[in-house]
Amino acid sequence: MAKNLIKFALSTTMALSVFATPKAQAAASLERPPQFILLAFDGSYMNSTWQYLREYTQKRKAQAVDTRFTFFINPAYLLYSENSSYYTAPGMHRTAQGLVRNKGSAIGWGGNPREIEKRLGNMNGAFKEGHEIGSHAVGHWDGSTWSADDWNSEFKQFDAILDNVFTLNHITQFPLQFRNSIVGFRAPQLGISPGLYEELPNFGIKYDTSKVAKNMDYWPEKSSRGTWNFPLARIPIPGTAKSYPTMDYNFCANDTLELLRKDPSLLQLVKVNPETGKTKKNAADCLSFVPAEQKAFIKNRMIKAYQGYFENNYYGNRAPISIGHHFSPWMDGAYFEAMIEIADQVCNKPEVKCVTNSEFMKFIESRTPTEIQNYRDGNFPKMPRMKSKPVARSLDIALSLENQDGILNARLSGKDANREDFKTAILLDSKVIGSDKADLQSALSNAREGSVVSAVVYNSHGDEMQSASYKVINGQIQQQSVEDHMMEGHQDEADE
Amino acid sequence: MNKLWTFAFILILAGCSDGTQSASPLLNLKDSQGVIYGDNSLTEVRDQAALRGNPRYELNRQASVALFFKKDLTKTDQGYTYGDQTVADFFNTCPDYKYSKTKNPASCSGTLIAPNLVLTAGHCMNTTKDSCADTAFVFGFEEGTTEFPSANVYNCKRKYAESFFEKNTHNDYTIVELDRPVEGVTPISLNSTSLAVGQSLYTIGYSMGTPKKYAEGTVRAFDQDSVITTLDEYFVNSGGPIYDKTTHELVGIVNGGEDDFEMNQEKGCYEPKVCKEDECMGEVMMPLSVILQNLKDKGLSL
Repeated sequence: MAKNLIKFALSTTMALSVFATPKAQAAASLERPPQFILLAFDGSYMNSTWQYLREYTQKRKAQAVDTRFTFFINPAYLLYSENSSYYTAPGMHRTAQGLVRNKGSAIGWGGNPREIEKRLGNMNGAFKEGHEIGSHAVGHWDGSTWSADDWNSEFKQFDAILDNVFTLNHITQFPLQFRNSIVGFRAPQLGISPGLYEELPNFGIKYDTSKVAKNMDYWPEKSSRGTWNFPLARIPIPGTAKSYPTMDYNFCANDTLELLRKDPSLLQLVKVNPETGKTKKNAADCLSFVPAEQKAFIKNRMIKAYQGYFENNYYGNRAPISIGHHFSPWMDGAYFEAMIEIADQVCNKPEVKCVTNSEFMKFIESRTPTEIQNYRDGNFPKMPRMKSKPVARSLDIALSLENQDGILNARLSGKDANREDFKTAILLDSKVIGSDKADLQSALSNAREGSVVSAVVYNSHGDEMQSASYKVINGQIQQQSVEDHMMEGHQDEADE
Repeated sequence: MNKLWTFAFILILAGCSDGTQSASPLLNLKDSQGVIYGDNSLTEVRDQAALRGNPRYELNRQASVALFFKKDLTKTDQGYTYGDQTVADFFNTCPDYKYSKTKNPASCSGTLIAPNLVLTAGHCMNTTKDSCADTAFVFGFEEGTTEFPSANVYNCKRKYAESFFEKNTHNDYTIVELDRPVEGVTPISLNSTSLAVGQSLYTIGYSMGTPKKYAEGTVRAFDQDSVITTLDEYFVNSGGPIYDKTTHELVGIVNGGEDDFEMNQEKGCYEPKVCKEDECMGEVMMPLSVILQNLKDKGLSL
């Protein structure tokens, strides 16, 4: 049948609310747990950012506020072009053309030996100052198709690079104080596979933070292999029906689609590096530079989303808040600045601990399974909720784009779907090609490789409330939306 | 444990008041309706027949100020107006809830305590990186007000005094210096007064962000450096004044408390929370005596 040849569904409906789920409010004798805030960075290339974050922590310490981070490092940044062959990337990665064998590093190398030496010094210094160093694998490849052997190879090379980093780079040796304290892992691109979880315990990894919990108030569990699951969370974007994982790149990918729908010329922006004179172009998947107005918009939106996440858990069941960012200054640093502002806002609050993942692990390991279950169920006296205006509630709109006999149909469902002040549109890139219906062949004939076909719900101000965006690859509309791809592989379960 | 906290509180107050204190803060519990403790007392300020016309009440009513995020105000030829967002839009309250269709632009509550000083909660002035620049102070936001003359809208010049969880305390207040003295409003005088369990109170604030409301309750208990009340408070009451119902003296400011709403699963929307009083945490007040002591410790005067 022609009907449903292409059927896409955007499953972004959540029980969206700024309010905590009602829990039993028995006046239990269990003491209210601290609110752990786990702020982490992946990659960790730029020495200037290492320096900034270390100084930030010192500045806050001087103000009697403890704010420390976990850094998940890639040893590809501890090699440079001349010794990079020391690393052989395992496995394959997905492309539009199918699986392709990995080669080299997905994120480049570490510059020159002097930069590498400085980076190592920053890692060491940060560790001594109370930050945590964890593993982000070596070459930042998406390991979602990897076997256990592939992961084994990657982890062995992770250890080998660290153990030989001084001789490999011909730099002066000093004790790597964090070397035997790496107990945490986050998969590059959040690309996980069952083989990963077979191998983590073999390399001393005690917790994994590669998954994304469906709910904000997830209390960690330990897998049958003994690995703690410390996931990121899927959080609502206040005032909209959208929800993103608590990772800057995922915000960026979604925000980029939204910004380019409004103003495709943003893709043409370039920036000249004043030091090198080199010109950098904006990337279509995640914009590096945007005008100040757009930067302020997405920065404030992330801050509101994180405020909502904090309020939900702080006044709720106190599940740890986990946020994963990068050193990359996407959107002109909007996300980086947002994370720092959130740290400024919450780390000084009563009963809040902005500490490393492994410190949280010590806390949870000091609690009995019964106590953890009681935390999960919220069986402890709750914190009084401050009565300023909370973040706006999130909306309940599920959006699907279906092909019925060559007609693209935008379908809405959910409690807020039928609001009279909302409008639906189908777009090819930034051009509206229909309200709730559009001709498929016409859309494809006008599309170019990489074009995006979107269904969008707007409010009366023209703000996006929900979206479902599909890339055109090889002349076909992809079956999975970008929004869904950003949520892919995400699960609550500690066991794979 | 509660008695120990009560004791601690008495010691704090001892230096600044001659008040009587109760040693039985948890007695006389009775059934109530969540944040609506006992009978629902939430009304428009002008609907308080028993108090209306009382000169002290009228002064307190006028001295109440609404905090707005500036981004929520729109400049007009005459002054400022605000958007169409309603309580239901913001909180997903059920359509049959009395205030669901009421617009709710305010973000916090406060009180004029000197010609150019406003007292509010610390957390009301720490929601953005530069809350002073981002916040407007609006006088005269009562039922039926759809536009504010520019003369009623003030800016924050600086934070004159603040204690926001400093030194591991639960202190949570800010005194904001406005960009100019407020005209036509008499500031509330600050006198340290006593508190006792059962004492009748009322608050004036912008419940849920809506125009100025009146709500009442009593002192229920003492807890460390806070006082627990049964005031019928909502979101956006934070920072608002709490007055003794008999003397109309300011005794503290609204801080926090029980969740306001709970989901009606059948209807798929939120309604004011209903629970037995001993299942609810009560509403937290930051006592004026603690604020005055903190100001004294900082060497500040009003």
